[in-house]
Amino acid sequence: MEANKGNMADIVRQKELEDNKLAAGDYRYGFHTDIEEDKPPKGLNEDTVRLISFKKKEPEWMLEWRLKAFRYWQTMKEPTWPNFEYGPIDYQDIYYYSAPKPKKATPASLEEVDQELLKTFDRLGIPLTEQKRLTGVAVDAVFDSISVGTTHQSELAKYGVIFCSMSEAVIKHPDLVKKYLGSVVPYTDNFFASLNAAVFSDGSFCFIPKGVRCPIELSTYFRINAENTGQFERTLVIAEESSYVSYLEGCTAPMRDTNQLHAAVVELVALDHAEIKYSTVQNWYSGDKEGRGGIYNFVTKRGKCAGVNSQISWTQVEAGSAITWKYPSVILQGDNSVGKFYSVALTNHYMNADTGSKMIHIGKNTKSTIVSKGISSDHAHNSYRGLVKIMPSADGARNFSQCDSMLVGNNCSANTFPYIEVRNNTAVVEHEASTSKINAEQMFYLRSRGLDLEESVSLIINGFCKDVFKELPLEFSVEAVKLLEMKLEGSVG
Amino acid sequence: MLEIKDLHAGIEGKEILKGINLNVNAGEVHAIMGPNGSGKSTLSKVIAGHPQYTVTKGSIDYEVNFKKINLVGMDPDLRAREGVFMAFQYPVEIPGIPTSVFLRAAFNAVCRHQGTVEMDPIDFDKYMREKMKILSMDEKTIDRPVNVDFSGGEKKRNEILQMAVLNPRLAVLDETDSGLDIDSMKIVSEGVNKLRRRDNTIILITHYQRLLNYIQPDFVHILYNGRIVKSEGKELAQEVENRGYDWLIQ
Amino acid sequence: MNIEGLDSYRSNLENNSGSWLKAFRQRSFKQWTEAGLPTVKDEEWKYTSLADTVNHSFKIASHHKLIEDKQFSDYRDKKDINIVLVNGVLWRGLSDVDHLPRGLSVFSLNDVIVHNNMEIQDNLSKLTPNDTKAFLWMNQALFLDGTFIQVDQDAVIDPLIHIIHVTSGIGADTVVFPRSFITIKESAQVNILESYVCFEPVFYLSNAVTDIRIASNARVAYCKSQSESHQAAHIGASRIWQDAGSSLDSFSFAYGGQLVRNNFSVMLKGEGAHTVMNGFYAIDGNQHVDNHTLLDIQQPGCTSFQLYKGLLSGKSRAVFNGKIYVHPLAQKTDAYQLNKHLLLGREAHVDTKPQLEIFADDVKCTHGATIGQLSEEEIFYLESRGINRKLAVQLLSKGFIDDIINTIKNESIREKLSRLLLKKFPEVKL
Repeated sequence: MEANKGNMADIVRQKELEDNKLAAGDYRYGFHTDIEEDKPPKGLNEDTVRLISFKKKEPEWMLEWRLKAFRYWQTMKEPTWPNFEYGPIDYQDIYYYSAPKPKKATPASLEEVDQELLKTFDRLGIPLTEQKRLTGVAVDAVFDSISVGTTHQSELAKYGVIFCSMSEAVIKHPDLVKKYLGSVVPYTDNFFASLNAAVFSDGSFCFIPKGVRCPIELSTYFRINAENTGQFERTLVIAEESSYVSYLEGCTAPMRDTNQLHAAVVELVALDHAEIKYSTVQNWYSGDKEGRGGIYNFVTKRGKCAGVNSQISWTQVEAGSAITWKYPSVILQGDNSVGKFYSVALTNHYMNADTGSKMIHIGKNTKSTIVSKGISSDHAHNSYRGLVKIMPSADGARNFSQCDSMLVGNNCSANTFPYIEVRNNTAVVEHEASTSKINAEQMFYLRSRGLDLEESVSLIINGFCKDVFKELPLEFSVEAVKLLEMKLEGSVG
Repeated sequence: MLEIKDLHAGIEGKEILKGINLNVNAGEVHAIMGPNGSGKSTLSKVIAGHPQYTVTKGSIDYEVNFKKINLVGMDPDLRAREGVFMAFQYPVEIPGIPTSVFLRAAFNAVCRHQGTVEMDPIDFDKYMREKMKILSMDEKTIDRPVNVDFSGGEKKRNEILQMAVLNPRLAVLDETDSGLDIDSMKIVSEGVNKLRRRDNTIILITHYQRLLNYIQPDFVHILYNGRIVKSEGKELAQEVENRGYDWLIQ
Repeated sequence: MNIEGLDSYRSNLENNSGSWLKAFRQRSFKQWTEAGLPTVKDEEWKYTSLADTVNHSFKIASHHKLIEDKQFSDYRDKKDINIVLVNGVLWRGLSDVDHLPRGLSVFSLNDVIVHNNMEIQDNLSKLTPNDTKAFLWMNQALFLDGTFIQVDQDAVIDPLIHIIHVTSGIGADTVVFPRSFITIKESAQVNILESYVCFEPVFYLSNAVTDIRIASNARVAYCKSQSESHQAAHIGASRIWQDAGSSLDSFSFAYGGQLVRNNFSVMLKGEGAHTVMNGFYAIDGNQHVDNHTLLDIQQPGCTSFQLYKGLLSGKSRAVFNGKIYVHPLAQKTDAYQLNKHLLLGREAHVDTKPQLEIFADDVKCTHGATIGQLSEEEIFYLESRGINRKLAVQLLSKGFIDDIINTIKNESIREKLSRLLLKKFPEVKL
């Protein structure tokens, strides 16, 4: 709390010190890395699935699982949403695998990774090499379909923490993967989750053994680079009894006129007394001012509080993507388990965000909290869509939800669609929502104290989103605020 | 320091100020009194640059450091950075932003504009806490969001704290005494008195004379129906207290 | 849904309709049959299954006489202007249509349509975003009669207008189509209660539609009180259009029915209109009540307040779906919605979905929903004063109810609803 407050002030100052090189709405991660790629032809059939599995040297059982998913996916229909409109996706016109060609067959350490790749991540602010890497955060860097490398692995191993790419986990920890993969999001779950199960490329795998408090933050940075490629990462986090982990995720992509599909799946499992904190700053390219290009971000994120007294919290700052479809959820199965969801979704230009959370209460005395802040400007659409479900078994369940929207300009919209289903009469559920605009009197008050238009707006937005920002780890909180300010520049006036 | 000439201004096409003339020199304290609806608050908002009010005629010349500028048409933040300050009659609530963060952001914005050195958080914290002592403010106030759930007295003290921190050349205090009990009024007045200097100017806008018992003005002006109808020394305030406004507006 | 003798009923009906109405009925019939009835796959019917309700062989009410004279006369209040419809047809003998106050006229809907009333023709063809089209079209194709009420410009009607739809003497598996059309002209003032009653414990389907047009600056209190048979199904639509500066104080009360669906829609199509849209449902046993409300704000400066409360005992189920839609033009809207459920029954269920869809930036819209129980602390407090638990629960429930019933300003309406509620909470003197 204390740290965060200082932090907000720093941000104001940082912004003050930054010269105005960034033109309104610029996307500083929009560059493309020129690198030789291993890219099998476009299109999707069983052979594509087999090829991906082969490239990753996967065991037979993994391929079988992928094929089952693929066959199931073929029977499914692409969903439509009332608040969405987007051009049809041609699933045969996508590359399903794209990996930078390694100069060396298998780099023994991060130092041996292609310099171009290291430079790319440097430029994104994620240095990977031993000398430069971030302290206090272990990073798994994913570039298109493969993981480039993972830092701090040996330090973590001392604690028994496994942190590696999904591909590595399939080979090195097959029993854990077999046990948990698809246990929260089965391959039959939904259209995009099935597609992911069939063709998932890479992602991160974390395992925190019993009683271990993971000493540093774990994080994955996802970078889409190649054109016309789908990104299908898959992440699995397992926290055994009484363990704790905080996991961060960041994402960017080059600026392009065409849309690209990103369909990820994240599964979290928390056993008795375990706690998982999962934070995302999503800044995929969102398209230009006219709404051309940008990422279609169709993601399934779900956690299962499998054990008693377990806790899962999702915190997200959604600032990118042309379309976002994402409802990080918690299945509250263990008695007394706790689920939390904190979200800021900012949309500008022609962006479309449909996001929220699902809290499924099964165990007794389970508790959940949902705090969602939506900011919409220009021609954007921003919707909160969420479900709170109290099952008959969930005696004494509690939920509190707060969904606020702010509109900046008169061509955008803000919608709230909360579904509340109560099947147990001992439940207490409270939901509040509001929609408002930036208040003119607040603006005048701040400006009469010497703050300019943009500083005033950013202060008000910071205040509006504070309940969510304070849930983010410090580094992410700074990044998130900067991101929102950059996005809103030029939208207010 | 401030020279208002034939100022006409209003809101939504309705003229409220109908030709104000006012001269204020550095080091002086002026009180502007008048009955409800005479245009007192409009005058302060027009000086501060509230976007809802339109100036239709006249000028507000403001001179600082041998530089003369007409405030009319300037953005409110620019005025503030040039040293113009208004204490709001109804201070606005800004949820989620701690008062200290807000104060430092404003302070540094002014410093940057005036070419002085910005303060780092630690120095600023010290500076701010010194100023708070002048106003006998609770230490915790500045950790709370700006004016949110502040009592009436706390809000008004917070306004004067901002004045103390930003150190303006021209301060317009709009009905700062309204809604204050006698103890709070004493504290606020003492604070304002400590901020009086030879190179700054204070304009007190008030309905009642009682504030002027604590902050002695050099001049008193009576505003009525958008015009200043009488200007005299501080005795005028007492006369208004005794006789009301009616005799002035015949 | 099968209706016996539908073809002969229709040809009879159409032959007795004027040319406009005949074409209108034929068009509606075609639309209805093409649309088909909604299922739980429809987003708007997600929580309410019609499968058991429509799986009957229905017959259309063939007579329009009141059988339960005695019970009904208790129901009718001499203070009010009573307008009685039996099985969908205006019953002049029991209605006070002969000595109406100045500025108020009441007709049989058929009579008015026959005379080519443009306002009605225009209105009958209207759809709102909250309509379940299939049921609306079914009503339009098959309604036999109804009531037409007009309040003239500047008229102030003091006594309560009580429209009573009685379903009577029809036996099981009948379908009825009550229909009302009310037009309130500029600056008029009126209080209206519309009741749906039945004294027989049989299953039937009531497909009811009420349209109200409120001209500018008129002030209207409207209450719908639904106390159908506990075996019956009631699918109702109340559709209200408000012009500039008008004020509506509405209430929807659901008490009877085994399966109830209420679509209550208010369209604010003039600047500065004001709406109160409150509601209450007290249900038990296997009752299922689904309230779908819409506030469609099309013009600037409108204000609205909405409070819906529900009391669920036994295995009852409630659905609340409240939408506030603010069009891009509707700046300075101030809309408030709150929805509260009290779950008394161990197996009572609630599904609620309050929605905001906002397309204007300078607005203030809030909604809230709570689901909970009576406080054990409060129950204990009463018990410690010698009140048994059962009564304590009833007393506290009454507090919950009073809170909402007392928002009804018209005394006569309040009295009638309280009398109904007394049956559910007999130990409590209301």
